Amino acid sequence: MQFTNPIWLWALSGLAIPVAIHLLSRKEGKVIYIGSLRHLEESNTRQFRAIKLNEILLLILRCILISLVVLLLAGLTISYTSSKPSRWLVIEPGIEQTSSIASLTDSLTVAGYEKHYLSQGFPIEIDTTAKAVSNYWSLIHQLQSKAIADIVVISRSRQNDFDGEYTTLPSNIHWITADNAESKSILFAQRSKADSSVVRTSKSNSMETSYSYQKVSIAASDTIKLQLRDTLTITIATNQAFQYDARIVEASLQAIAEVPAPIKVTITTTENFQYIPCHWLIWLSEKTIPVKDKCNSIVLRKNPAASSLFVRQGAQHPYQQWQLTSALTVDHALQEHLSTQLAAILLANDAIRTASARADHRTLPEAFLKTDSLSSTTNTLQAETKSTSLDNWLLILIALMLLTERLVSYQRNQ
Amino acid sequence: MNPQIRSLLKPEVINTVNGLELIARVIVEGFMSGSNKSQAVGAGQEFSQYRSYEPGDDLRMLDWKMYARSGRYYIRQADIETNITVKFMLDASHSMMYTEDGLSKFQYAKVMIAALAYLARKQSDAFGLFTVNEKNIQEVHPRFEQQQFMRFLHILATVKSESTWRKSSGLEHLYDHHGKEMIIFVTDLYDDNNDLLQFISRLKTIRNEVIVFHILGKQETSLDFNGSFTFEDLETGTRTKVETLTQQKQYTDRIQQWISQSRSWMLEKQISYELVNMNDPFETTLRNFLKIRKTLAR
Repeated sequence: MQFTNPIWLWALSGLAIPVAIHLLSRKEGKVIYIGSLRHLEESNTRQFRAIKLNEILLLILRCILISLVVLLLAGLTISYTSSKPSRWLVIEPGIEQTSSIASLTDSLTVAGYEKHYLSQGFPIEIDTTAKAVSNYWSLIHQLQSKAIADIVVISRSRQNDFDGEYTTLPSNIHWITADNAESKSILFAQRSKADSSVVRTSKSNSMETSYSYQKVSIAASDTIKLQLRDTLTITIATNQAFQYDARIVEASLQAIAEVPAPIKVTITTTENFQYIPCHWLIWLSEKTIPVKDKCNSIVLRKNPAASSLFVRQGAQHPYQQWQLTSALTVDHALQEHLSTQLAAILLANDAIRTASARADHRTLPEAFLKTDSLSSTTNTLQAETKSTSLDNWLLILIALMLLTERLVSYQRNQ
Repeated sequence: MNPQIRSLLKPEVINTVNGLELIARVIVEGFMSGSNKSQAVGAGQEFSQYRSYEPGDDLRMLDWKMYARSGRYYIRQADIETNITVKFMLDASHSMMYTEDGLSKFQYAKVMIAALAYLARKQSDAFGLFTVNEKNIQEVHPRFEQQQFMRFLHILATVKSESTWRKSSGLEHLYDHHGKEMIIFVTDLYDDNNDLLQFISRLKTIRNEVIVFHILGKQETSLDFNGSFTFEDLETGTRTKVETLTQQKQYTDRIQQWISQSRSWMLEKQISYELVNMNDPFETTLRNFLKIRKTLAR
């Protein structure tokens, strides 16, 4: 029940009017002065009780009438929350079959929790085509706006999926992290020779994720599936001044040359530079790079203000362009993990990255998912309410009441 | 009731001497217009006619001078001059303040008495007024003078109805009467322990005539109120709640019984009882008055 103009509720003080009238007019009604009462008798009390009751009925009718008018003026609207059960069990798809989780969900559904899936829109039935959990925080926000008194969330709470700004959980959400069993997954497999392949496996549980290589011999029939990866051709163009740098880069490249793909490095001078098609061109010279939009490039351009060794620059499509921001020394290269950075740039593979992210089963520590005990539950009832104006009903009621009041009072006064 | 007369019956008219006289005159003159001067003939000062002697006539009535002139026996007849004393007694208890249509019993009684007194004066009767209640007894002793009527009207106009009928002593001298008397008692007959009836019974002697005008209102008779009301006794102030619809039958029965009882009681005592409804025209009252006066005059 809500009022659009609650100030009109002050008019309820008008209820005093009929009460006052009835109190003041209680002096036994109309008095007729007569010469003598000798021929009259006191009428028996039952009838008079009926008369008094009649008056009380009138009083009540008038009070109700005034209240109705006041409610009409105050603009009474009724609001009702949609009739959803106020307790939800939100479970992440894919983990409900686990025996420990299944017993928990069973006991919760018996306790009156409605089962929903933790995905976009919180469906009751799992939609197989729906995307998996993308971001927990946004889902938490959505849950918060559902105005449900009690929500139990059972989730894997994978660390990778908590993307974005950290927020405390609202107090109506209880987050349970399902224990992730240790899982192994293959990120990629690749042929290294005709009869053997390299398999990158990840081993992940809720605490840590580790990766390892395995060399596996393969049958000849599987060669179709596993392709030899192209050799990565890299040309290092350098001049006299940066020969040392070029050697460091070459050494770094050789460190990453083995796995996963063979790398072929060619060193040329910048003078009389002839462009030979390659995947990457590392240009170590003060001079500007003569080739453009033919291959990916890393160009030495000293920039003391830069925060990292490699900086992306320019248009990244169709070929990536990077800057090497300082001259290289051994110490510097070790300190900045040159080979790792080079590998990240040169061997970047989105498919493998997402695969590894999926294989990463580390969970967000429970401490981060504590409910915020301070945040009140007031916001739980803000949304999902509909309101209807009752004006028409009130008008009908007022008309009815007015009619009855007139009838009763007419009968009363005869 | 004549609407012209009814329109005059207002407190501001009734409560003044001139107004009261005016009403009395209008009523009486209207009533008396075209009437004969007297309905009885006999021995008196005023000559009326001669008629032939018939055996059995009183010889004292023979006009000897006429016999000397004409040699026939004539009886000399004259209008009878009757000298009656009319005593008006008004019940000035507060119960007379019962009001219907803006006219109280007391005012009605005042107008009635004024009209009767006017008539009595016309008949050259001596008339006096006694108003009685517990607090006051107003007296205008019966006389026949020019001023008497004004004195009479003055008291009548100013008298107030209050308290109850006289319960204590002090009424004895009102019983003291002599000669031909006509006592007109105007009351609503609401008494306490029959004190009114006792008073009335003591008024009656062999020689006088007592008329009791019992004034009742129309609604008072029929209890013609619809609904439940509180009734307050004008004299005692006690209140009672009455559902009139259920009691109407019983009440009217009681009133009729009361009236018939009063009538038969008075009849036993040879007292004239006249029921006057407040809506009745005054002519009926005047006619009753004259009728009873005539019986007294013989």
